[in-house]
Amino acid sequence: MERREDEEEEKAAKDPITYTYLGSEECPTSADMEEIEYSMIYRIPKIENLTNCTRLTVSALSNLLETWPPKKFGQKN
Amino acid sequence: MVKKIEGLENCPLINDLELYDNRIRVVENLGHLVNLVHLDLSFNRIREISGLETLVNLKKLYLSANRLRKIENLENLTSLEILDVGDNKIRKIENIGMLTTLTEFHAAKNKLIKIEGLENLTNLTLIACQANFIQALEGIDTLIYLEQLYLQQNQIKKIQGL
Repeated sequence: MERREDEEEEKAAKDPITYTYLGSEECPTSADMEEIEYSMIYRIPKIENLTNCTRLTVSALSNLLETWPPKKFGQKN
Repeated sequence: MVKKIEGLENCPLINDLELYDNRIRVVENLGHLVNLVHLDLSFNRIREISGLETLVNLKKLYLSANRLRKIENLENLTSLEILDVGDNKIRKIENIGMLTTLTEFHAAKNKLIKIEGLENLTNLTLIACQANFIQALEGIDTLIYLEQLYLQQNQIKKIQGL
């Protein structure tokens, strides 16, 4: 089991970086949202698609590297 | 990873912005976020404190683990309560004498040789300057509300000035 995990990690390290985009299905944004919190979950290349989010009061987009590979939308731990 | 601060033009109500551990090099496009109270830009690649002049409501500013060489351009942040510039390349505590609302000053792991410039900051309850090159315990005798003083891993040979 551990060996397989090691192999998967090694393979992932060699793969090209996969980004998840703000405003996509995985990281949705909407005009009504007051908070956006994707810290430590996704790897996001840029801040985007917040043009209509005029009510936003909290934006947390930190340490966007934690999970590998990126979770699919709706996937549970 | 975010390399540039952008895309927040239409979000003027943001009061809490966390962008730590990205690859940001320049503090920019934040000037309109005048409601910001908490800004965390730690663990980035910022070389200069700038672009914060209009954020007069800011209370907590975290800039640790960047590439700063100087404390500067914070004069207008007169609501600031917590300033964290730890783990940078700062050689001198300067340009914060007017931030009299400051209660916590964090500057561990820099290149400081002296505690200075804090005399007027009488609301300070915490000073954290561990892992610097400070040689004497000085510059803190006016800080009557000081509760926590962290100076481990410096070059202080004698306890005096308290």
